Amino acid sequence: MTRVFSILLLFLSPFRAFSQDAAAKPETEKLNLDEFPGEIVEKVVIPVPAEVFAVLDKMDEPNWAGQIRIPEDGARPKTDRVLLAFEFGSFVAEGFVAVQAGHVDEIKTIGGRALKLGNALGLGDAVEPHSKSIVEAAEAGDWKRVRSELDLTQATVRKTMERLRDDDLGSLSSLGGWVRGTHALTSLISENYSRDKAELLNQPDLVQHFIDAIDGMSEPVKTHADVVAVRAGLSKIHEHLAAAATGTEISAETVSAIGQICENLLRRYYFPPAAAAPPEAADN
Amino acid sequence: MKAAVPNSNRLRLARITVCMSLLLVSGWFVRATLNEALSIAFEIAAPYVEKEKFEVREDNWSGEIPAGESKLVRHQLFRGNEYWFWLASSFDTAIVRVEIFDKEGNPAGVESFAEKNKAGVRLLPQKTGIYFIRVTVKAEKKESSDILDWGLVYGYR
Repeated sequence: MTRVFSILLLFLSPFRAFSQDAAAKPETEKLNLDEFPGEIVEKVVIPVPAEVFAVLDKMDEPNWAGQIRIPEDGARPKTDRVLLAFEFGSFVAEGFVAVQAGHVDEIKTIGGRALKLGNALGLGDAVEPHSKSIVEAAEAGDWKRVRSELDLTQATVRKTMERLRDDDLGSLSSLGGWVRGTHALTSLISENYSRDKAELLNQPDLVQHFIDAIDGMSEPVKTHADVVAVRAGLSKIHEHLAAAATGTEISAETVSAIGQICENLLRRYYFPPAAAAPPEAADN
Repeated sequence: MKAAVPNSNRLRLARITVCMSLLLVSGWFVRATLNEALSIAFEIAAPYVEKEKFEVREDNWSGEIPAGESKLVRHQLFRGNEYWFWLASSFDTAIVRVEIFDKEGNPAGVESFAEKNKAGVRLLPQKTGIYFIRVTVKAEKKESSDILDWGLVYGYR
């Protein structure tokens, strides 16, 4: 009987790819983080928007199509590398939104625009194969592959920037993607607020990481007016999230405030600039 | 017409050339094994992608570690997702282990495996926030080098 039960267990386990002898209940001893004897790895992997969007899809039926906002081409000159890096990251995040919506045409447009930005950044050779794969996968309706290629595009750009000793721009690209992804997230949460959805914004350590990364950038980059504005916006977001770190829920008002900060930042380098926004509102 | 190089200078040049070659070769070797550790980690992840519909991130962590020591990786996770972290070393005789803890240091993994130079841990986050992944790499036998490589990848669904 025990044997039959064991065999049944073996087949029922969704993780039977590995031997059952090796599977075990993980470590139960508490880790003293203050007295950890080893190193903490410096590298921070930024979650892709799809990771957060996957949770939203489980909770609700979000209106993804309503979140796609592709800015007009040629609205901004393609000369400022800081703005190009922010814009590139934003386009990758836009791609993740378009994938959730399943909109092939928009994904193709985003793939083309990402390549154009990659060329302007001098990374055309690195971006082109991914841009092509994104378009091919979208035409085939292979959304998983599109997500994977978008992730790969961002990773390739960051690695290429690092190789060219342009780490700062690689980080700005990741930051641009985070801001656009967070903007879409706040917009969807606000449409049908719930505490569970709002908890997805509980990312104060990640926000602090971006602030620290900006502080560690070269003088010309960290004193760039738009980088200064983005840093100020991140500080405000961090303040809003500080309450959540103490156990307080993230309210609908906080979600809306974070969304507005992201919107204002995106108007600096991605969305069309606000027509009559007072200067202090732009930096919020 | 080339000027004659004194013997002492020739020796110095030869030493520099040998050192540069060694540095280049060792650099290539480190990169090669680091990539190999990540390749193995991706191989471990493959069945989960194919059969369990996990999406594996293209961004990841890798490095070197003195045998027997641990490192901590900080990472943002989201409640509502399920995660697997897969760790590997390219050294066949390495024994690796990966564990996950929440921000207070409480163990957070719900399932794990460890088979020589391959290991994994599964997690269903109870909160959205930062988690700590502890990577430990030991040597089964005394290696020619006590520095071992590691590669960590993760997937979500």
